[in-house]
Amino acid sequence: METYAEMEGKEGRAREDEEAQLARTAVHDREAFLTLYDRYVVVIERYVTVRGGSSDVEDMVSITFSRALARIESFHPERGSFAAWLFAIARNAVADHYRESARSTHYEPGLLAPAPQLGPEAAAIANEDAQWMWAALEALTPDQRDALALRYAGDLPFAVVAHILGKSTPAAKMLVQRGLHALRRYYERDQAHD
Amino acid sequence: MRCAVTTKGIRPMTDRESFEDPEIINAYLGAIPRVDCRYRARLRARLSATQAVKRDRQWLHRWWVAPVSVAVAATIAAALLAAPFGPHHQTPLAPRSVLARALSPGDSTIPYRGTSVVSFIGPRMEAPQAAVRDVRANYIVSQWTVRDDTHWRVNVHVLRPALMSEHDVTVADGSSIVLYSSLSGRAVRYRLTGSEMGRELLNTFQRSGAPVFKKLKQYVRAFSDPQSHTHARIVGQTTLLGRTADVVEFSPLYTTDRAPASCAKSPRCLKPSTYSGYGRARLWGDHQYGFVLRYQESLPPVDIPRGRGAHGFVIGPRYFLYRVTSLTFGSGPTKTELSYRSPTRPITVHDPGGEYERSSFTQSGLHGPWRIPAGFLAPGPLVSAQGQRYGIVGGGRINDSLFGPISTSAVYRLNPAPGAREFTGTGPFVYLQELHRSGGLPDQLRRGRRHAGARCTVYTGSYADGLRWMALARGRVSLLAVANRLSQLELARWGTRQICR
Repeated sequence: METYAEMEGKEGRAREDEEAQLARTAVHDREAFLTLYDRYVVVIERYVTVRGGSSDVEDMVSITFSRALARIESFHPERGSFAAWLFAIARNAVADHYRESARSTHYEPGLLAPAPQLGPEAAAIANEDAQWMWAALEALTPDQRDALALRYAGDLPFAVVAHILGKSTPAAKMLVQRGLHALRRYYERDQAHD
Repeated sequence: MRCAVTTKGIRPMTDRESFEDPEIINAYLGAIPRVDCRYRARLRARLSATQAVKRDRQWLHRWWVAPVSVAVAATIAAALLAAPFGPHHQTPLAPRSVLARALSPGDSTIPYRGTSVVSFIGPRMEAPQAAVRDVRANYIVSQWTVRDDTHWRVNVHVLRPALMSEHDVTVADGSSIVLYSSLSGRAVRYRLTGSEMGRELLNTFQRSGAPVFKKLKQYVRAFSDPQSHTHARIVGQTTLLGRTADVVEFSPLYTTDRAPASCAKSPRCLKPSTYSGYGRARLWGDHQYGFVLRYQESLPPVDIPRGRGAHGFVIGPRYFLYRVTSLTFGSGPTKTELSYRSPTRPITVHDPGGEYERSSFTQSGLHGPWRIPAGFLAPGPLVSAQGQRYGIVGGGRINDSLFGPISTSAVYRLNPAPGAREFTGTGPFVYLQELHRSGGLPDQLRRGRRHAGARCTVYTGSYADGLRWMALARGRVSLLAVANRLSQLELARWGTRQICR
């Protein structure tokens, strides 16, 4: 299944319309909600993993979809796409999670579980690669981290990223651009040290 | 454990910018930790089953529903607001929206009296499809006589579903409103604070009245929404009840809009999405006063095919008919009709605040076995004459925000597999409903064959479609069970030995 951000404008709008219809139907039709769940669970999972760490992903994904289900009647297509609405809930779920656990955003290298299908050597490399990335992300501003997470972990178009962040599309692009540049600089420094 | 697709590298986004550095993005995505994805199925099951909560927040003050009528709340108000339209009540052309706009405050000062009938198929909810017509078909007759917004009387007779049958009276005498429900056996009096409150309640009961067609073109235009492909148009005039009626047609009742299947493997597919509309409705409005004389909609069952990334599902059947069967202008309520004395002493309620809220809750067996809630009858094992065991695969209850559970239901299936959630599928079933009724089992359910139990009498019978039913009352609880395979005798045995024990 292609992702939201892969779609051309016209088809992207068609998908927005279809999802708006599904969300309306989901008020009383659980299958419609589950269709949306199936479509978004992976990207929501990826987003909360990036933003919240991997230890409580299940809780945060669960909170996100439970809240979405409970509030599905409050979704109004005229205020934005379903994706924007859902990711806003996920964003709040991550924020609440941190508030409740009273800890700041911190990625613990020990929690970075390499892909299970990798061999020991590849896993070690993957883990090492991940560590420089998390260290680099720590140097970004919260807005930049959020923009990157929405754009790449969430697979969202810039327009939706901007909507969620409450910024203009150019401003959202600027956040992403600066974040990527910062990561690139960190990566090159890291390579030079090696 | 392999999970569903996850991004392992940068994907082809159509709004890609030149500054988006593929190497860095791939590194970013590659650094995202993998998590144990087995929770996804658990969460999906939980969302599917235990979180199936629907709240019908109604424009009803708590005082009128709470002490009075379960059935009226369930059949008149909830039905018109949400129930008959199943999952699609928010489609622009649900009767709720059609009639609500017709019922905007008007200048109807002319007294009138009449009778109306509402019939519809209620939501499928957790009931097996085969039982829907027998347990969800509603037929409600209302008699109303109105002088103005604060002087009126409405008698409501709920004839179907049989278990919900009752008679309610609501009278506004200018200073207070008295409501009585035969189902709860309770009456309540509330001070009438003004014409707006009186009109709101009258509309809730009566569903007709205020002029619609003063600005017919505006009214019709309001329903034409290009975005949702819905249309309304005046299709002509006819005569109903000897009166000239304008006919407005609305369509469709339900829309789908999805990309063609051939686009499934092509993210850049530019083919236009396919729009489909289903069902239509018609409204007949009195030409002179604008009363809604009739409103009808129908939508046969439609299989919405599985689409890209979407499950197939079925919409409908939806059926709804409101019709005024008699109407006289110039004649309002008599003094006797307005000086109503309820059979039980009304409770005076001083607090009008807050909204009444009723929630329904359904649960499959996936998240632990469904159990009949406390306050209802918990039947013993259900075994057929051949020794085949039926087990509960799920159920539901309706909660009142003030009085807690007021009804419950359960679906039994033959030899259910662990975790089975065959609420609505085919196959052997027994559908059980229980409801608190002050007057015991309704007459309609006492007309079957009698079977004596230790503590109550069991009645059995057959519906026209061949399904069998069994009913009994014990204490305040009335119970109805409907089966497609078990015989009346088997049901009677269950009732007498496992419920009336």
